[in-house]
Amino acid sequence: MNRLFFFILPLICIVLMAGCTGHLLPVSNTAQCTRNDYLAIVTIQPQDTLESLARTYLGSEEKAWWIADYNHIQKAEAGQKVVIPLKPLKAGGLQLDGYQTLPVLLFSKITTGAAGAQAISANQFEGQMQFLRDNGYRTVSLNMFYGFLNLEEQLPQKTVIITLDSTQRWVYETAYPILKRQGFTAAVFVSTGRVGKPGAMTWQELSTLSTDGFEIGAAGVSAQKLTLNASNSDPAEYLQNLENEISSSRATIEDHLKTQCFYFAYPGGEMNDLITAMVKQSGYKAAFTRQGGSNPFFVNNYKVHRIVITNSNDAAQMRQNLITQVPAELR
Amino acid sequence: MNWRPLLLLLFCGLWLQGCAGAFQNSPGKGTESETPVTAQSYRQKALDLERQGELQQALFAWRVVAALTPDDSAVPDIIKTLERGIANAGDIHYKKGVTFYQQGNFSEARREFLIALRLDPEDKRAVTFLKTWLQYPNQKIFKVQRGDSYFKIATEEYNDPSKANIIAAFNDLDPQKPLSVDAVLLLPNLSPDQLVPRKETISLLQKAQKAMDNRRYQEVLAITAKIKSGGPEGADCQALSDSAHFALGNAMMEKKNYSSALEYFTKVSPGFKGREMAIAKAEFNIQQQSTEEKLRTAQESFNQKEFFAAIQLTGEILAQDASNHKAKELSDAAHYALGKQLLDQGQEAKAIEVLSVLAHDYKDTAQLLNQAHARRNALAEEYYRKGVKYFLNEELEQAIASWEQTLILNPNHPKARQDIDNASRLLEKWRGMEQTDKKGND
Repeated sequence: MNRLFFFILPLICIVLMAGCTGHLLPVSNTAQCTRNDYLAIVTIQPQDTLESLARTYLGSEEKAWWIADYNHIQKAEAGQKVVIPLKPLKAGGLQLDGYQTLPVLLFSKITTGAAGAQAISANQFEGQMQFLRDNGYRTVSLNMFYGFLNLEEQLPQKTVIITLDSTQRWVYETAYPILKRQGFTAAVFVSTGRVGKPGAMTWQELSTLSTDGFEIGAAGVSAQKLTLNASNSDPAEYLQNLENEISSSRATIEDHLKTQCFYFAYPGGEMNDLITAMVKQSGYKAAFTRQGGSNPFFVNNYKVHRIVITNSNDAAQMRQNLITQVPAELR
Repeated sequence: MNWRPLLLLLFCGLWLQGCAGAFQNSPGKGTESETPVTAQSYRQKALDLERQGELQQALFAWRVVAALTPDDSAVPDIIKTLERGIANAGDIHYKKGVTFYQQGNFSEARREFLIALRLDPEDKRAVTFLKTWLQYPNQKIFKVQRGDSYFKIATEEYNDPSKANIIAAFNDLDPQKPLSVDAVLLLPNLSPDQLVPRKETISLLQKAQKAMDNRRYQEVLAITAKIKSGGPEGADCQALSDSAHFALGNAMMEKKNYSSALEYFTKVSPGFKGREMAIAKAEFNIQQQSTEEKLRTAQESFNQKEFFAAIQLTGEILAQDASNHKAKELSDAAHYALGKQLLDQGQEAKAIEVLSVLAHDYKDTAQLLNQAHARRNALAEEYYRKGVKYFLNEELEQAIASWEQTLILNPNHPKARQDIDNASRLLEKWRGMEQTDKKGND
């Protein structure tokens, strides 16, 4: 019996402790990080999350997926060592077998009443958003999209951008709660001359959207097509109006929302070289058309394609719209 | 009881449980494709990626290996070789893309540029082709030659000078910066109703020219400023603005308002004929005006017997122009008068300092200096004698102070320095003795 207590019991204890090491002690409890211009190798601490790591090492929580994707992990686990690429490894979504393309969806009217030709019902919209969520799509900010266009950012494979071209109240009252519920954000392009008018959103409401991660872009002042007056009025007057529509809408948004406005949507989607040049000249980083199709990184920044979602879009059409990878032999 | 089988069973059970616990909670758990962060696994990953042709990914994996094994000298070489290989492969695809583009095979050109960018995302040339030239394969282009400006191109191509900034913006260029010779510009397609020149630009230029012809230069400047505020002003507008500034500068020169003249001349564009000479003349005259003003003030100070101020002002003039005779004369007169005044006030040392600046043959400067030196020496002697008296009275500290005054007045006094030394030594000795006595008493 003595042998049991003096030799075997300690042995059992040692074995028990060794076996339980995984339960009781983290593998590494000291902060470790190797960092250079290209990467950081980090030992995850108990308080870390992928978001906090992304904020620390990549400057934005929006890039948490980047760490998850590279390390093939779902979440941060204390003691785990991860490699964080500090620069995009697949700039422009370029791969051996193709390149990424990013669908920008345009909703021009969502109604709580009956759907019409251009307007889709709130239920349809909710269903579409649910579809996006169930299928793993994410939305990103327009600045991230701009980074993608300039090969400075990489985006999750299933990325879409949702845009709402309207100053009307349905954006705030109908679309916003649905998007929020489904965990998406959107870019809202407003005609500044209409803000605060009956049936339109107020600056306060736009400010709420902006604070909640929605981006407010410009769609001119009057909501008139920018090409409309070209042949109808005095050219000098037309040019003056054009400058005003493009420049002052940006200034007004920045003035009211105290945030920079870098994105423009051509009212009615119509544009030409003159309008494009004036949009560039006014300091916008990108502008959105209504030309159909998805967007590879090499799309013209001032002719970004958008897919107009109407009542006639069925599920098959929706799936077709959401293709995010174009096959190509890039070996 | 035989414990061995039981213990063995227990041991195995615990071992297995322990291991299972460890595995369940081991860090790095994830999907099957997760790569453990070790040099060995990343080395293998890098080699696999290289084999698959994913060279950028392989390069990154090698960089991870380098970070994990900083002492492994072979890895940096592997990285360098791979970087070179990627750059070469990218370049080959870029060149292929250019060839396809020139042949009008835009789809193949695009594919090659995409491969070039997949290999080397930093290749700006491929980006330019993809995002510019392939976007506008049928757009009219313009090759910049010497002397071209946005204004000129807008006038020639669209008969509308106001489109200068539109051309710049369309090409993502800064309209305020000059165009590079041989640069290729895309010319925006503008419909006829967008090409009507802005009436006001043309009429403003005509108005400015008319004002120029009638020598209404301020009006010219007002009009050209208005044109400039609307965008790149163009050569005609700039030429009118320059001519008006230059003419106004000359008018100010005639009025001897040299500062205003200089202001106008500096606003003329560099390279304008006569600009540099005009600026130099204006600057010279400003200098002259400043000198004359100072001289006038110096003379006034002298007249009011403020000799020191006169000396300062003339000194400033002479520091810039030593050959200014008027300043020199006034400076000498001021020094002389001040020296004499100081001598009268009994401030011999200061008088000597002031008078020494003058030439000895200036008026009776030599005589005044002798007088000052003599008075100073006499005073020095007086202090010396006082010192001797103190010394004899065994007041050594006062004696030393007096002799020091002597030396201040006459640094070459034959005895004072030696006497100070002797007195100091004696004083030291006395103090030593006093110290000893004090200790003895204690």
